[in-house]
Amino acid sequence: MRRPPLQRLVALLALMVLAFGAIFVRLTVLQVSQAASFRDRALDQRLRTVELPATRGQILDRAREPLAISLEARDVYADPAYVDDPWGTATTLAPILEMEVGDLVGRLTQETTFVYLARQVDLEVAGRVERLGLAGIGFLEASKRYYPAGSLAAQVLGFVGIDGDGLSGLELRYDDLLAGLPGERAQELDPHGQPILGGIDVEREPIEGSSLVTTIDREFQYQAEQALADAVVANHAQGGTVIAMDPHTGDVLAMASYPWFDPNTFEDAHPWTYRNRAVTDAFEPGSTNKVITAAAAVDRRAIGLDQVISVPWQMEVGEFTIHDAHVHGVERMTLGDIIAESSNIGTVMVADRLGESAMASYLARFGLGETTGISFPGEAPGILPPLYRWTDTSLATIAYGQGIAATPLQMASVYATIANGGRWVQPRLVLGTRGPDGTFETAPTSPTRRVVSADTARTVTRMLAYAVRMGTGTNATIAGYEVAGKTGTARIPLPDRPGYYEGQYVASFIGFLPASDPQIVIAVILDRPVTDYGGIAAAPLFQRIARYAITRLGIAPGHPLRTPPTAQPQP
Amino acid sequence: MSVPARRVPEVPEWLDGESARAGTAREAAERPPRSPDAPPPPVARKRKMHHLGFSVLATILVAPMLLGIVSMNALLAQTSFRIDEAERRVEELSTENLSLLHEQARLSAPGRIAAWASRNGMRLPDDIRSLHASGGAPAAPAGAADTSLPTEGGR
Repeated sequence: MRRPPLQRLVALLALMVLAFGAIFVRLTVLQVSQAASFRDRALDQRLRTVELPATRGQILDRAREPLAISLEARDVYADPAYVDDPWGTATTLAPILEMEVGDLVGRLTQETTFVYLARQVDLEVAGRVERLGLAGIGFLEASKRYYPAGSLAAQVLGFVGIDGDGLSGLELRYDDLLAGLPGERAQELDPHGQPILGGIDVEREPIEGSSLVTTIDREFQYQAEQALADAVVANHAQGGTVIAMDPHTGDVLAMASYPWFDPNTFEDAHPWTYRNRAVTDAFEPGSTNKVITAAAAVDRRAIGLDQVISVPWQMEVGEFTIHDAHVHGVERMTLGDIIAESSNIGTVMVADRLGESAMASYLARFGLGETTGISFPGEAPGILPPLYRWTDTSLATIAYGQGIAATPLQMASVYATIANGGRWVQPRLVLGTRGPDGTFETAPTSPTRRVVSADTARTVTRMLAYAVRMGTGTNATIAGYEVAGKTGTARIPLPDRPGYYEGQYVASFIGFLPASDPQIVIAVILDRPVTDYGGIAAAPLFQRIARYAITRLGIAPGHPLRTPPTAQPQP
Repeated sequence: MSVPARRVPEVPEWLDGESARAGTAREAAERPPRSPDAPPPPVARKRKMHHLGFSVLATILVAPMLLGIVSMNALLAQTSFRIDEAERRVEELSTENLSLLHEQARLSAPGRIAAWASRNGMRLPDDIRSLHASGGAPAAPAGAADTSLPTEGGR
């Protein structure tokens, strides 16, 4: 037998060495350098991780009555690999889950081992599906947000999405607190989607979210909303806002914006109804802003209380002419008369004595131009032009509340400052939190700051009480109680250019009672009522809510205040 | 130095264990019988006593241990069943609690109560009267203010 040539043997050996070398290198790459990556990919293929949602904390009113709760529900899912008859299954499930057959078939024929069929279904519905014993259909524990009072305080509470995340209002602001910590279940599955015996099966229990105790009084909120809805309808207004707050603590007892929506079915409502106008929408406050001018003038002693000035019905300011709401001759007025009669010209004359710098300073001290810090998503700071941008007419127009913008909450806080003896208190919507174990943690008290002296606040309160008793706010009077407040009828600026809408106004009334010992501040604002004036459209709404507040909060009548100096003949 | 391997006598396949034991008995039978007066060998008696002692000791030790293990298992199984039952009960009560909370929240909603009250002819008072302890007459109802519009219009 002839032996093969040596070269051929060497070549064959080299080839084999190369081949084995290549295999060795590839194995080294797979087993050493990429081992971790492949191990992870293999584990990913086998491991199915399902999030176990934590029960969301409740939102409660100040008496711990539920405003938003979470109910037990089920997510219905399918493993399409195990569904023998997608059409039959879909046809059976469609009427129970209230879904389209086509939609269900689409889901049941997907190339996956997990697909949701319906989320957050009631236990009763889930039970009906379970009793059918359909192959490939499974259930996951879930929770569903429920607002038992429907639209009550809808814009304040907000709502949550399908995944249980807060999307607006307090639900959004306190989402971290309410949501809790979701749990997790990790299972190792075989290629058929069945758990591998002895494989990974780890479950981490979810941690329930804390409950939020708000300052809202559920009954008060309901009555305020009913009164607001009635007033909007009666005055053919486009909308409205009501705020009721405790002037000493800053607690907001009621905060309503009309039109509203039902957060249980928020997807059916128009998104613009989601806005909490009391906090997010700024408006030109009009005559309700005169309280700042008056407080600044008294605090700075820019005008004596008994000083009488001659007030014409109109005057030239720069290149513009401003005037009062009605034609009158030159009238002799004190500051008290100017506030009671809501004279624009008188207010401008007082502001002139005060000066731009002082006026700007007091506007800022009362909190205009910056958010109140109520911790509500989307709170607007309003518009307060910096002093260097003031024009020839700014002092005049701002003095009577045009040319600046404030939110209803900011204006309510201004009156709360007067009611609280000249000390501004940050409004708040949260009293505290209640942990899953039931322990209540009180929220820190609201920060405060001195804005005007207590004497100034008392003096301005007398003027406001006089304005209700004898001035433009008589529709807000409540027999046996002295109400202090101010009407406002403000023009609405055009959105795209300088100027104002013709014949369209925001009517408002902001006040408190009893004047001698204020217990509640109520701000009511109506958007474009056909009745135009704050004294006609808004004051009766204030009166209705204040009347309810007296009985609800047990407010004592207090005692009458002295009438401020006046140049008008007294009855 | 290596020793040549010795062939071990094979037991034929047809000879099973019993037959083998019978063979051994046969061999024993071929031995001369022990005299009945002859005392048993002392080593064998000692071994028998030893076996008996060991058996008693093992029974005394193992039987309670076995009993203990079985009892403990039974207890554990029973406790597991109780825990399982308790957990199921907790779950049921939690669900019931949530359901009651839901019901309470729904029933106490102000809108529902107001609607019920309205259907039954109830309504909020139109006016508020404050009584003065000094003997003063009650004030006029607040509703009176509704008709007094400002003479110059509200602003």
